Order: sequence, then structure tokens, then C-alpha cells
Amino acid sequence: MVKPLPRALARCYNDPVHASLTLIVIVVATAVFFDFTNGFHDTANAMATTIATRALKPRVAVALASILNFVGAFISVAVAATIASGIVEQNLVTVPIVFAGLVGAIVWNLVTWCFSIPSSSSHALIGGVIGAMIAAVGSDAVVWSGILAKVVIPALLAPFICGGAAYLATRLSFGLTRNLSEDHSSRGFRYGQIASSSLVALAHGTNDAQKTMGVVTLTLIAGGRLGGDEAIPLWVKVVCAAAIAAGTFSGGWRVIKTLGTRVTDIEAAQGFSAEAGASTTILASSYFGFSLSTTQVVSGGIMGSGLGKTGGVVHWRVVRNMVAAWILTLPAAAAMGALAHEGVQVFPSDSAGVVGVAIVGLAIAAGLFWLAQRTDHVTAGNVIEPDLPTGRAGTPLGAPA
Amino acid sequence: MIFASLHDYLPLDDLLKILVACIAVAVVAPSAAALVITGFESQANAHHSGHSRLAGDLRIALGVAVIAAMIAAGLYTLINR
Repeated sequence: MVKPLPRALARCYNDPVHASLTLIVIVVATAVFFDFTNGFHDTANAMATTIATRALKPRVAVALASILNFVGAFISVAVAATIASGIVEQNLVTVPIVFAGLVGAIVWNLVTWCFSIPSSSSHALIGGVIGAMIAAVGSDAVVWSGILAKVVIPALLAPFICGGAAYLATRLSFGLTRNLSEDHSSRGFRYGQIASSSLVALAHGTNDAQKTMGVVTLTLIAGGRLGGDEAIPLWVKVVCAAAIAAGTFSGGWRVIKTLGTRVTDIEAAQGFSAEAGASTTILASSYFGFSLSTTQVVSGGIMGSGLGKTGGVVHWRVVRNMVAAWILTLPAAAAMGALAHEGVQVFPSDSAGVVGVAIVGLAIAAGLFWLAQRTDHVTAGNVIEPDLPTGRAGTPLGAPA
Repeated sequence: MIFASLHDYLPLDDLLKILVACIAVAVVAPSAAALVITGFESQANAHHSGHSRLAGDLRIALGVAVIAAMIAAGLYTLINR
């Protein structure tokens, strides 16, 4: 049984008048910032291999991904209707819970980015909302079977499905072109790679920008600023599409370096195979209603392409760190979401609470950006250079031994 | 028993369809790319020997058409899910 809502929370959802404009503006701004971190964290999913094989220059690749993320956000609104649907009791989600969940997801996204580890932004958002929900209402408000069906099982399957497809495609790609000139092979696969990675970028925009649209729309409905039966406002679509596109354009070079150069040494045939496998897995699974993590799919594809090349090497230490981050994403984001929610409750009103927690969150984000600049400064200029053995502290967890 | 339990959380029929789609693309995509690459090779050979480029052009056109059809199918699934 679900516990009754505490009064402080019930007032926000059940009586929209109390959801002040300040509260709504800050939650919407937080959602848009999450969208931005989602974009720059996940640029690597589409373009890491394309950059690594020099099919496109780094800046051109992220610009292309950025445009396709923007366009993708307008293709369909099928997944924008709900946030964490089937994972928590939807009718108990309040504006402060959404805010705390977003804070948890943003912090975890920045922590994994700081350590150059690709991890799922969607799982981080789900984790953040679960943690905030447990803190606000209790664990009975979480649909544990939904977590198993929508997060755990897909997370276990995704890397293997895409990895298997990429392995097969890589074997065939090298096998079919082994007697042809390297120059022609490389050129052909690079063209194919641009097409397949563009499809991944488009699918990413469609899936992930719409999650934020859902968050913003729910906040507006819960805050009494939008009717429950009204369509998603155009400005919400444009702002969310622009935020994920801006995030994508900003690069996320650290994660690109990990996926593009540290998991395995990628040639054009492997990049093409990995992205073809990834785009098929993502599109086929979303067509049948599975929500796979783009990050885990692409990572699996890159590993599969590494194993598919005769004599290819996969750096398992890097993979181990990635898998550890995937396992930690849900509980870590949940813990941060719960902490953020408790932080909001310390203040006399929800509006003051979200302002206070937003300031603390911004300070943490600034600290993580500063730490990232200090430890391993990756830019468009050095993103495909191999790691130098420095032996000093601060070597990213995404780097091979 | 295990499969019965798994089926509660995961429609295995749909999973099978996803696997079939992935295997199909894993076979067709490299084949189409290889066709384009042999087209490049054929064009280069024709250039050096002075023969017709038609065979190379046809291979490239066929390979590109297959890849374009796969992209179109991908866009279709994205729009019509």
C-alpha cells in the first residue's frame, strides 16, 4: 500500500495555486539544464566512432549530431507523455520530486562525465526520481517490477544484442573487403559510418529530448499553468530541442575520447559496423516499445566491433569501469535525488527549497567542471590523440591501464 | 520455468524480432558497403585501363540504394512507433 502524501507535498500537486511561478521557472530551468547535460554527455553515442576514424572532423561531427538531435526532437512525441512511467506511482509525483530527481540525474551525469565514463542519462533521471520518491513518499511508491522490466533487463540485454550484431558486421566487413585496396575500403566505410551515426543522432534526439519535454509539461500541469488535456506547447518543444542540440554541440569530448579511442582501436569498418548495429538495435527496440539506453547499446556495439576484428583488442579495464558506472547509476542518482529532496524540505517553502538546492547544485556543477579542467583537459583538438602515460593522479577512469 | 518468468517482464516474441532485424542489418549493411567499395575499385581499374566505368557505377548505385532503403526503414520505424 502507498502511504498517504505528506501535507507539504500534497499541497503542491493537489492545489496548483501553491506551486508558485518561481518554483515552476526553476524546475523548468533545471529540466532544460538536464537536457543540456544529456546532450553533451551523449554526443559520443553517435559521433565517437565517426570522430575516431576521422570520417568527420570533430567539430563537423558534433555540429551534425547537434542538428540531427534538434530535428529528431520534433519527429514524434510518443515518449513525451510520461516521466518514469510504470516505475513510480505517477499520481504521487509532485513538482519538488521532479526537481529533486532532475538534480540527482544532473549531478550523476556530471560526475560520470568528469571521470570520462559513458553512462545512461535516462537511467540517471529514473534513478533520481526514484530516490526523490522514496524520500518523499516511501519505497511503496516505487514499482519495483517496472524497474526490473524497464531498466535492469534492457540494461543486461542491450550491450549483448548490439555487440553481437556489431561483431557479425565487423567480421563480414573485413572478410568481404580483404582483397580490396585499403584506401577504397576506408572511404566506403566512412561514408556508411556517417549515415549510420546520423541515424543514431536522430534517434537520440527523438528519444531523449522528448523525456525533458515530458518533464516540463508535467511540471506545467502540476503547477496549474497547463491543462491536463492540452498538447505540449510549441515553446516547450523548441526549448527542449535547442537545449539538447546545444549540449550536443558543446562536445562532451571526454566521453567521446573514451568511447572512440579507449575501448578499442577503431578502424572505419568497425565504426560502420558498430553504428549500424547500434542504430538498428535502438530503432527496432523502440519500435517494439523497449526503452534501451543509447549509451549501453553503442558501447556494446564498439566492444563487439573490437572483438570482431582479427587481432582486435578490447581494453577490459575501461569496460569494467563503464559497467561499474552502469550498475551504480540507478542507486547513485537515487541517493542524490533523495538528498536533493531532503534539502528542499529543510526550507520553509518549496519555492525557497528549490532555490536553495539549485544554488547548491550549481556550486557542485561548477566544482565538477573545474575538476574536469584540472585532471584531463580534452578538447576537439586532442580528442583522438592517444593517452600519454603520465603516472600522475587524475588519470580518468575511462583511460586504459 | 526461467523462460516463463522472463516472459512476464519481456515479450520474447518481440525480442526475437529485434534480434532478427539486427542480424539482417549485420549481414546486409556490410554487404552493401562492400558492393560500393568494389564499385570504387572497379572505377579506378577502368580509369587506368581505359575501359567503361559502367560496372563500377552500377555497383555503387546498387550498394547506395540498399543503404538508402535501410535508412528509410529506420526513419519509418522512428516516425511510426
